[in-house]
Amino acid sequence: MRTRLQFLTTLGSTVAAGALPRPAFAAAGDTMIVVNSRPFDYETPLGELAPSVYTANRTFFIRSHMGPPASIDVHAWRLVVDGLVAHPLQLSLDDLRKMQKVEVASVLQCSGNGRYFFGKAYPTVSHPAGAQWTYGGVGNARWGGVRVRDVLARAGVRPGARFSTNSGLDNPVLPTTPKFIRGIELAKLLDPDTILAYEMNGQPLPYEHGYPVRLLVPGWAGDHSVKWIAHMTLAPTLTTDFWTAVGYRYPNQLGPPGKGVPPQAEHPLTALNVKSIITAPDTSTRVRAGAPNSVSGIAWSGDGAQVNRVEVSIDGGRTWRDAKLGTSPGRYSWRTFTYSWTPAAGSAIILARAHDDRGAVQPNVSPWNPGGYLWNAIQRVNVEVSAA
Amino acid sequence: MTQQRLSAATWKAEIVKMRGFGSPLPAADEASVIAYLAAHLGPSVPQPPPNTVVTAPPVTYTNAETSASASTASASTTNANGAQLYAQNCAACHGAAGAGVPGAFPPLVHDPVVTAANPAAHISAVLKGVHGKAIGGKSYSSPMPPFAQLSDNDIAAIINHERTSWGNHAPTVTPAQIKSAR
Repeated sequence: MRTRLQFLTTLGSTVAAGALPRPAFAAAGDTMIVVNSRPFDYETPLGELAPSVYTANRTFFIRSHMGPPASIDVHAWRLVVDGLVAHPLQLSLDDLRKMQKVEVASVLQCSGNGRYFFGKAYPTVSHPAGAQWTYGGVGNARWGGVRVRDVLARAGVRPGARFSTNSGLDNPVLPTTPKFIRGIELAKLLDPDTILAYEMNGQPLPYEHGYPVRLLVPGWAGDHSVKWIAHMTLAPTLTTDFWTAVGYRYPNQLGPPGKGVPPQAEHPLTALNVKSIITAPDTSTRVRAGAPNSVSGIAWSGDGAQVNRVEVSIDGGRTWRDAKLGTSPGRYSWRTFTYSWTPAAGSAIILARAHDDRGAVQPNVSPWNPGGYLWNAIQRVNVEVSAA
Repeated sequence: MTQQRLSAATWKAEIVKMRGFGSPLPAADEASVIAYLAAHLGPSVPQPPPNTVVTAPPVTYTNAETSASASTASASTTNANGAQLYAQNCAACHGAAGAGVPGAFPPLVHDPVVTAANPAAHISAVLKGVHGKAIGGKSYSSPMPPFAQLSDNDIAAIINHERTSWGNHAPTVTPAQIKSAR
């Protein structure tokens, strides 16, 4: 029987064979929150999420399924487009760069962002399994690239194609682990805002964010935005691969909290939902009575719905006032909000509640689901106000 | 993983998934692993605070260097004392203070086998494991795996730690006794 140490050493040497590069993010001194260390899932601290519209590439959250590819030869890299197309394609990065470039400002959010809070809200039942993200499994960036529809127009979509099966250069460590393959409806790929992105905030796409090219599916959960994309196959049906047929699914009907739901009774999770995050103050902020102060944060919704109102409460939800919204660079971007207040001595319970232009509003508690997806409940920040 | 708080059923689903993905966990050990996880990382156990901010650059890859240091650590453990060996091999189930986990893993404190003058049953339990035996009148669903892969010195050190700690005062054993019991 193997000891634990031997097992870890064996696994380590398998990983070591590829001589993996270090991630390019994070200059010395930058901070991120480690959610998982192998493969790495890092979330962005609240202080890095605001007050700017765009999140810095350095500290943009990272979700890994298999870890990044051991090495990438950008000259050898090709995007293969095949399946139900008239002309199968093999496009180089230069081929893509010669096509019309577009930019899309979009939130990218892990479907499991906030999973940690299901455990807080439903403490007596099994917490949803998975990385315990708190707030920062989300970021907003300006993505540059080409429309998927322009690429598919070159390939010529044949009748009967309804889905695409997408995968990247990343591979599992063990051969029995399913490769990260994701199916998506063709209709969403043909949306003019769905792109093959090779730039992030004006910079070449960083290694850990999918260099040289990733899909960017705005308004939908981040798992659709396949990193290091290398292969798109058009098909009449949705792939039955693990990460589409079992993972990233949401119950058709919500059951009692804590109870599992078989994948057949679930559907692929697609659109994000309306949500806001208070980035300041936090519970450690020193607030003085009588001095002007402000509550600030970010708010967004999913699938192209846009936040049009954020309310703030400083008394635990008894009274609400509209916050001032920042300008929006696009319907997939988040908006900043600020609310000015002059605290009185004592305790303040600060809440923010976002609305979108389709009438959706943040709930007090998000419904428990086995994957712990789509947490969007109203956040509470308790602040002690010291006497002036 | 240690931040998660799952029920036994959910831990089982995770273990089944990981074995499907290629985890080398033997089927025979599955029940013990689930029992351990449910007992130590179940919904009733408080979660640690999540916001541990680390300053970059953190170590994110296991590379040749860290594998080498792991081998060194492996070699040095053969000389470690009984308390360390116990912490590495036994404490996960029986607890750092030998208290066990009610319903899942038996305590070693004042256990009749651990405190018996004749150490034969104690040596056998560590060398060959224990399956389906009632202990102190209680039965436990998870079997104890054998630890025969450890050296005679290490097993003797572990047994002596168990026999002389937490209020236990039983005669100690020698590596030669372990050797002859194999």
